[in-house]
Amino acid sequence: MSAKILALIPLLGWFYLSILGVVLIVGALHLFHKKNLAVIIEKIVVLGIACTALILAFGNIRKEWKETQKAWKSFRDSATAKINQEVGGNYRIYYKTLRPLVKNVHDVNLIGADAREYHFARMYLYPTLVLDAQTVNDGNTAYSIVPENLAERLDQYTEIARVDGHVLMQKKGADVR
Amino acid sequence: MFADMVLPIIGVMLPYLGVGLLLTRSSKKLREDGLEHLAVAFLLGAGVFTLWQFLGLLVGIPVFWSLRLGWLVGFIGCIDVLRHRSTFRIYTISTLVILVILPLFFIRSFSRIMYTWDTRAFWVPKMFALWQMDRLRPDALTAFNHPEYPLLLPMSGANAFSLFGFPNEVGAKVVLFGFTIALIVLFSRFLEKTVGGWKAAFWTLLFLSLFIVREHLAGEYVGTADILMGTYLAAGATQLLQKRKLLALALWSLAAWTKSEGLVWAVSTTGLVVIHEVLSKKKISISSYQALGTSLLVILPWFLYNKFSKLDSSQYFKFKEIYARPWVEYAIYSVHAFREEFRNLEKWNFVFYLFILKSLLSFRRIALDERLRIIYLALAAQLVMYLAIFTVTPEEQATFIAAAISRLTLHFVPTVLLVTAVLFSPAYKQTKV
Repeated sequence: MSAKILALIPLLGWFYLSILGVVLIVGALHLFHKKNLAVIIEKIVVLGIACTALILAFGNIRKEWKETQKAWKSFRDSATAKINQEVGGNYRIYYKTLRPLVKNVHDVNLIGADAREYHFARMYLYPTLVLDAQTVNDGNTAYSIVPENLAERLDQYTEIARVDGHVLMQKKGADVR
Repeated sequence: MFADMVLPIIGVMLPYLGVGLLLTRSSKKLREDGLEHLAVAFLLGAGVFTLWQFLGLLVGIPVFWSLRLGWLVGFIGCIDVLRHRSTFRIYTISTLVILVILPLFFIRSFSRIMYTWDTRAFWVPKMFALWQMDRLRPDALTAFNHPEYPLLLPMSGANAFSLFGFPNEVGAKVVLFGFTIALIVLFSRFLEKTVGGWKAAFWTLLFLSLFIVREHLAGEYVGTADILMGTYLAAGATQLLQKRKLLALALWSLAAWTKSEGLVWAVSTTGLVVIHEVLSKKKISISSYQALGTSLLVILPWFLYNKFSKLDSSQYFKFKEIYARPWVEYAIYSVHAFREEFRNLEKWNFVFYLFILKSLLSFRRIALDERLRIIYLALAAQLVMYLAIFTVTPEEQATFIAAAISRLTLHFVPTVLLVTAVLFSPAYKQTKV
């Protein structure tokens, strides 16, 4: 048991060992009625740590200043510009173009999209449920958003809209209300 | 750009503030410090107003209409406060620190929209969904990850979207920056009063310079709710330390409306306050009922919605898995994870060094002071809960800890700093709650 406890000591490192050291010294001084000395030692330690913390803090604020200088370039852009910058074409594809077209559709297959695009599609087409599908036959929906190259091969589907390499397709003869 | 910033201030932040001002109008002590009053009112108003909007959505009042109704309430609240003069002490050294650092955060935050995985997977989509829906049905949010997370942040974003008529995430960020301002103002004002000018400036600077804090207020993690939870924990602590028990509990209960982990904090602090009351007065008094009532009013609506909707809130609590794994080793690994985290100077500077050192040296003082005792016990309960989460997580433990530990530590860092500052202050007098 004692060997196990001894093995823990290196894990504590200077950080925890120095805390323990200060606590033991200050505690011992209190025990031997050297209260003034205990207060002085505590003050010296705390002042030393506070000064080091302050130096680190100023270093961090300098880093923040550098980040701010980089950020200033796009700070005054419009909200739409910032959205386009981050969201890319997804805002135009899903929110502006496809959303009005699937307004009354319960769910739609999304094929060939990565996780990031899927998240955007799922949000911008809400409340239409977007299914992360492998083929147009997944799920139980007559609608699919597929890449252009796949759209050419889907004979049983009709094209509804085409935007930036994405095609919204509807199954031919599907009973859509 | 100008409209993106001004509209959310008038259209969302003022209603929040107005509702909070109406709720705190009877607290004369709070009114003595104008800035602190505004900060507490904003946090309280934001929580209560969005909670009311959630209830409205349940019965079919869309965000569009509940926000417009909020303008009326907010207007009355703001007019009411103009009738009562508060003292605004703004020429202080920590105000100077805030005025230097907050603009940097503001510029960095507004230079781009929210972009982390969490924000794209569920926080922003929930804003969008709440803005779009006419009624909140049980399955309304199940399309997104973490449907069980509460809605303070998404509702705030939905309000901004509703104001602009399109998903303006820059507008949503303006509203979230209101929480940042409230936190910093409350933090520095409390310390100004408790520990004095220069020391308050030191603690404020230390807090604002922390890497994780900066990333959550201005950088990568803006739009996630962790800093909001830290905000409500710290806000409640400032009020309890000033002997405003009900206000403290109201703010602490709102942590449960901010993030699921906040439920533990809300329940533990409510329990601790009531137990202390009962033990000290030897009976259940009216204020105990008031404390319980305040917490339940805030906690219950979302808790019940979660239960009735059968949302997956048990993701991290698969207790059966404990028996199927070497759980002692898992628990030890979790403890070591926090040991490593606390001594990471790159992330937390010397915050935990000063906290642990001063807590050990002031053990007797903490044990004798009811208010500090409540905060320490609640912090301990929260830490134990996080250790339990890390131990029973269904995901690969090391990966999960690496992804979550800084965010979870952030929940209690503002409170830890406040308590440490108080322990260093000889002026702080120990009293009962």
